[in-house]
Amino acid sequence: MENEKHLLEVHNLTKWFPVRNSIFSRQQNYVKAVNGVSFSVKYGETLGVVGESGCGKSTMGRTLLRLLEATDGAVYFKGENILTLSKKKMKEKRKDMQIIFQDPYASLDPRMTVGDIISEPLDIQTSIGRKERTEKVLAAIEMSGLNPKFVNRYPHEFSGGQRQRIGIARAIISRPQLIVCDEPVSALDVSIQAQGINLLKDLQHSLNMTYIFISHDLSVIKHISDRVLVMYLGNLVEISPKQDLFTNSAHPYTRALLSAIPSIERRGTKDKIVLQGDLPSPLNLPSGCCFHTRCFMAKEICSQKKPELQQVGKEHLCACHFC
Amino acid sequence: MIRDNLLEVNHLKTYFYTDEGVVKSVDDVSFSVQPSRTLGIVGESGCGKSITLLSIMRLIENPPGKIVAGEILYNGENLLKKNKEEMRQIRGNNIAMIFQEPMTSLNPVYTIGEQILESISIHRPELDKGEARERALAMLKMVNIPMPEKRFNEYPHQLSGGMRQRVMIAIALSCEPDLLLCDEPTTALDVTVQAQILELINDLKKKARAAIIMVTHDLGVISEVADDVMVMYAGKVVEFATVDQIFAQPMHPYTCGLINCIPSLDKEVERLSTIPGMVPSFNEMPKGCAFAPRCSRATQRCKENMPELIDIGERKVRCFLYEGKDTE
Repeated sequence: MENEKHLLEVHNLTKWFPVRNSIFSRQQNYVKAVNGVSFSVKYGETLGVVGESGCGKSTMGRTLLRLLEATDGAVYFKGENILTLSKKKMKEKRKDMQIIFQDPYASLDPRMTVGDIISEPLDIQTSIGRKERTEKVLAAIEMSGLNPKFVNRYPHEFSGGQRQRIGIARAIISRPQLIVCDEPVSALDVSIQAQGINLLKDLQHSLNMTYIFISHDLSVIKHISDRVLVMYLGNLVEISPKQDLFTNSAHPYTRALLSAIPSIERRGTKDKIVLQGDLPSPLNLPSGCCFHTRCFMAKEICSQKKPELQQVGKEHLCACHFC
Repeated sequence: MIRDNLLEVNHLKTYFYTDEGVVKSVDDVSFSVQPSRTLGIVGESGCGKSITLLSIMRLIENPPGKIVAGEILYNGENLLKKNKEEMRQIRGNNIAMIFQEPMTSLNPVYTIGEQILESISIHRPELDKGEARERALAMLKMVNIPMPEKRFNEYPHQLSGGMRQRVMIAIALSCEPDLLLCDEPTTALDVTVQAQILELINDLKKKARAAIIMVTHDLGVISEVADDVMVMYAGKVVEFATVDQIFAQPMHPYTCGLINCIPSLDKEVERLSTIPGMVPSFNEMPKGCAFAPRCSRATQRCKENMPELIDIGERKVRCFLYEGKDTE
């Protein structure tokens, strides 16, 4: 299993949420949020995860860190399957893997000072003395571009951009190797968003971190990622190095997604692919290929047989019968 | 080029009187819209773009808000002089608005059909029940809702976000307004659904010859639907130009900054350019140009004096850099 180049290897990761139609119903239904996703992440790279709302990208991010327990599958972090670790062992591992959340307003406890919020991940490392702790907090604050004077203030005193920096400081304080960034800049204005993206890139460089960067915004994904994973309805539909994906996308969903982005540079181009309909419900996945209900290339086989991931280029995999 | 203005807003000022002081949300804003054209208003949160739309609809809550000056001419008539009943007739009939959140702007306890019928029965009392229902169904069909007869009797929670936004558009269009105000109509939607809605709005402009004002923070959306673009910053218009001009040759440093800080899909850059700092809050508004503290080209004069909006050909820009170039 172990591969020195890979920090993280994910095999057949699956997360189903049970739902019941009524309290008397015996039949158990599942929302199939993540459906057998496999991929690996190399040391020091940024893997972008892109898809529309409800495609399971955030659920996947959380399941990777065991913030949600997986239904099936394995996650090898430096060769060790973390899904089978005991609670205590997992807690120790958490200092190597952190998360930055989307909503800078909801993800900070309003009753804690900035200093307390940022230092919280250190609680699990009991060996750290008080003085060292303060030093670390100040270092994290500075690296995130915040003013050290802010240490005793409360979250409500900050703007959205500053709050996101607090969230970033909290994530980097334990010097993790892996950070799952779950739409870290989506709630911010464009000018503030650019500051956030630059900060994340700088930190990745100076602290040697690996990112899984989840976003619905393809232009942000393009800017920050080395490789990109496209999800649709809980399934991995395409994974590829960035350049290849954006110039040579193989899956019809990826192509539709790319052509749907309103972009200043591509203004006036007429050959847009506008998908019909909405995302089907994850309670009731379409048969065969999950995308066939909206696909402009769908043929008979698509509703009958689920396509396997196949190699279409160097490190470029795609799940489509016609790629 | 002289076009007939459907809507003309002159020196509009909408202020909010709060405990902490007066917030000048919209400060001396003027613009006009013509039939079959889309005006895009762009800016970051808090720049006054939504308040501008609400002012046109006269939906500013008073207190704390108040339209303190200016005129809003719709077909030559000043909307600010209308009384409540007259305004009610205009809303929906002549001017309609689509809000940002399709999740919260529909009433959860009424069916889709009832909500469309409501506006039809108010503004078209001459129609009988059957005719009104037919018209509502036709509206649902027009916004590409599949199986309109079935959807007619469903409740908002049974519809997806994109569907709800279509229903909102159907309600807005049910009385054939000639001016449509859109407040971030696609911000809450996914890109593939956004593309569908934008296509729909563009169709409307062509088929119904409606005038559209589209407020958004997304320059990408602006580039796809707008004919003219107005950039706002801290309650003031900083630039006005056609969509081709604004992207080919942005003039105001803020517009340049906005365009440059979006990650590009076609170019590869190591670092994004940024606009340092953030939008000043209303109680620490600088004395001179509101953008001066964040502007790389600001001079001492910018810090002390607010530049006027100057005409450069058909464009307008509020910046000292372009002074004396108005002869071009």
